[in-house]
Amino acid sequence: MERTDHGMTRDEPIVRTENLTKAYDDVDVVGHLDLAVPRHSIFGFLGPNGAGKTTTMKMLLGLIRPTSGSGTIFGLDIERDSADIRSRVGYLPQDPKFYEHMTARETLRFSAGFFFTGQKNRIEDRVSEMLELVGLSDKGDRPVKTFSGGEMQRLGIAQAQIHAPELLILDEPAAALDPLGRRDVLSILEQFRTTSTVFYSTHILDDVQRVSDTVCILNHGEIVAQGPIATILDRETEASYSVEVQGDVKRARATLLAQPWVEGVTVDGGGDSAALVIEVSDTDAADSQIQRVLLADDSLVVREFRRNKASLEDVFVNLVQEERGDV
Amino acid sequence: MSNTGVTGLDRVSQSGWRTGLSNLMGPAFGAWWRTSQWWVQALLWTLVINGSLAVVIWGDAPDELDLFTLYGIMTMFAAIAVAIIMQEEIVGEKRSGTAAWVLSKPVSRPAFLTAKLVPNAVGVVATMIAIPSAVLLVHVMLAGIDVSIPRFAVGASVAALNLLFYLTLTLMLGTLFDSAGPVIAIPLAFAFGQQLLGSLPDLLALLPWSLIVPIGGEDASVAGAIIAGDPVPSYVAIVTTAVACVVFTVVAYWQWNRTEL
Repeated sequence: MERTDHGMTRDEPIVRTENLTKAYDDVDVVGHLDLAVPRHSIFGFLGPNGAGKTTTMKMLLGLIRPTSGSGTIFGLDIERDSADIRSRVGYLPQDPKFYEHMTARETLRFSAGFFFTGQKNRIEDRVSEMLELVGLSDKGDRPVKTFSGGEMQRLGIAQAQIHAPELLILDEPAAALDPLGRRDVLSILEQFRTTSTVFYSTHILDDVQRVSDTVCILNHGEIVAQGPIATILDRETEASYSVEVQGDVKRARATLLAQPWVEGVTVDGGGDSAALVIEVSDTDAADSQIQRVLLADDSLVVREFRRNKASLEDVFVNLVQEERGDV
Repeated sequence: MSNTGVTGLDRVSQSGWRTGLSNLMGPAFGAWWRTSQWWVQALLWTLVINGSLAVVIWGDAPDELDLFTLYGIMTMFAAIAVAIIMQEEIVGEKRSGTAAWVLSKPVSRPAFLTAKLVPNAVGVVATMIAIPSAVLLVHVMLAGIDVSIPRFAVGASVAALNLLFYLTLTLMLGTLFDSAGPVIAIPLAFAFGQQLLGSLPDLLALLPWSLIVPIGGEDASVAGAIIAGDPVPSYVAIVTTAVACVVFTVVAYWQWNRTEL
């Protein structure tokens, strides 16, 4: 088994927490968090506002002390070995702010100075490379106080990546960006997959579904789901099918309800054409038999048939509402 | 430790409390010496101190005791400026999020605070005391007033100690509070409030006020008496002020180590 540092194997999570808790005035903001971020994953950390995402990230970086529990990054303790951890992590704060009197280039040079020494021309090359990466090459000599929110976000990603860290912790990296900017940032994150692990928080669920392979959904400081996206979608989605039929819709509905693996049929539309949503208990039976059952009736025409797949947004909303007791 | 993707660059090797210190010191000293800050402050306090004392030097026949006591009193205004300059150093960074950003890098908390304390202390002492005092020394010598350079240097150091009291106090308050209000109000209230203790000379003799302002019917402050070569009313305030500076600094480091950002 190949081992990296501190006795970790490549298969072990790069970030792991056990019962990590932060409480203010005896109220848990983050409660008993057992987080596991796989190496080389793009890990989406989801949750509504106030769920505890930023607090968790700050605990991992040693900016906030846990009330109880523990955590490791690269096998190093997040409290005891914080400086060592931070030398290998890049962090983008939510709503990033940098020293206003510095230009973008100076900000990156300043960031690089915490990691590298000597060989100024090589540091300058690295600074230019990062400006290029985030599309700020032509704005490198502008003071950051003149930057828009989107430009600050891009600069934030550049300073986080300046030392090619093994782990990037990004707090809402795409929050202040327009759709094109978001697309660019997601594309940058995907580039990091081969060299780094990206642990990022967001509430833009489309983005997560597009680039992440693993997610953790947090609500009221507690994990409500964690794992590969495909697994969560499968586990949390009730199996259903959509069928658009033409003909005697009532008879079609009755025929379907007569099948033992059909749990319910809702009809949208009327007359001789409608969309049916069929909830089933056995997807194997449904896959093989729905169309057969319907087409056995010569008067029916099946115009469209598909298995419904929940989006991450559906799953997220369901899980958060379940937690609240809304469902 | 691996450093994937960045070839040909040497890793910084600082560790312990100095982690990140050298990278922080450059910009912090630069904020004083690579901007207009240093010459604006130096010019301002040179004009304030020398302008005020010119009235005494070039007016009636100078009484050395009054001259050098007035010098100390004029540095009191610099102490107020120190509190104003320092008020946002910590609180501003906490509020804007730049402190959290910097401390997400391999930077120790003592290094962050040291990079606030040392460059500002050097900047304040140099531009508000050392440069104006050097000019004053030349000014006094040109007027033909006899003054001992070593005694003048010690007296100026006492005035500098008063400034450091307000600098470390403001720094400590910055770590204790999250808004600038109390950070500026407490030093100003303390600075002006000492005047109200005129009826308690024994207490006042312990406070930094007595370093630069005569108290209890004395003709000279501690700084003024030292420069003039007269008997010093009491050295206690030098000790208590120095101890207070140390206490404020220790509390600031202790509090900053436990501050959540």
